[in-house]
Amino acid sequence: MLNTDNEQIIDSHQSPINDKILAWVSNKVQADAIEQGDSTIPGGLAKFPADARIVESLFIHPTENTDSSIRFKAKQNWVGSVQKVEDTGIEVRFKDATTGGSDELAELEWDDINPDDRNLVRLGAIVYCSVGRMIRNGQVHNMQVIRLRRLASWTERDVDGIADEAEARMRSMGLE
Amino acid sequence: MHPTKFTREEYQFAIVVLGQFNPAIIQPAWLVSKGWIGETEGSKAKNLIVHAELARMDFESIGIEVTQERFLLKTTQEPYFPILRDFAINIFETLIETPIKAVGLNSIMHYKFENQKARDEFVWFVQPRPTWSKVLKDPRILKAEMVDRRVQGRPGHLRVSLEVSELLRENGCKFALNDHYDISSSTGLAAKELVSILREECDRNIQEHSRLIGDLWNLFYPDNQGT
Repeated sequence: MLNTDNEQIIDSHQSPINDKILAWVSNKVQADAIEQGDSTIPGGLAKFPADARIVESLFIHPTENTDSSIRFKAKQNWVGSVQKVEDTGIEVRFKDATTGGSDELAELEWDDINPDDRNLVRLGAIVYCSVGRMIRNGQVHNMQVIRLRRLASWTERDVDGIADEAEARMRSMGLE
Repeated sequence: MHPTKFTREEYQFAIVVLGQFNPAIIQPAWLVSKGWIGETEGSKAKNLIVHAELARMDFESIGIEVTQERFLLKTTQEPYFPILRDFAINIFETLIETPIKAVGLNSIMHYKFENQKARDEFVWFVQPRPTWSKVLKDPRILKAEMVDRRVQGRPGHLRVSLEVSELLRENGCKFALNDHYDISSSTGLAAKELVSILREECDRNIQEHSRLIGDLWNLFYPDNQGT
């Protein structure tokens, strides 16, 4: 049976240096080194030249996962869209993502928005907001997380596809 | 006496796609160039490995692990669930020719009970003890798992498992729910079908998974005081 469950998910609370990954890297380097080894050397293992080549194709950043003990308990989640963009901030119309309910207008300052996301701000842009408790290394902080939706940029092929579809629809409605 | 508290302490979400993938293209620079990860976040990727057979990286919001047969996206923080879904949609709207066989939407929830006794009572309610007590001397549950075939909608099934939480060993339970969808479309259309599943099922599944655990608790303790 196909297995799409999370059994192989590396738990965020385990050591960030994952045994499985390290074992894979170690086996891979060894296997490739043997494969490319000089057969004139007993054992066929030209370790250093081969290792250097393999390691070049494997770029591994030393792990310093200080975030491994972060947990976020969300109290409420909203989804909204940008209604107004001003010099001081933006106005967003939010809806509760879980219960629906009535819309709420909120004003966000530019500082509330992740610097990476600021260039995504425009009228109609989708904003996700969560309020809850962040537990970092045992310390509890009340937090608000605001992120903007990132959508795939449209390619020429997408635009052509839409144009073709529109043309086909026009034809089917006799509007050519 | 029934316990009075049942609170969710952690919720992780993961999307697992099975098919044929090219791990080598999944690199922070590529993800940033497409605009799916911000520049700052992309430059701070941790635990980074990129190779023809395996790509793995952790960003602030999400983690990625790709082999030639399996594409895994995960997040351990609830505010990033929609970000994860959008990210998956972006990837597979772009890699539209990818052969895909199945997708799983996975919730992993850790719940805390008032004490160990309360946890054990709940677990024995879910998996009644009397039968096993007749054939074993001191039965304990390591893991309980159920499968529910989906009778309406897209083909697939829901797997629900219950085991001791590795985060809350004394008084916690971990529920893992795997909403599995088979994808039967031919190569050119499989990614499109996957994107539809992500668009239409992700949010609903997240809500359903929480509701299911709540329902289980309500069966055990009808005056629900869980959170």
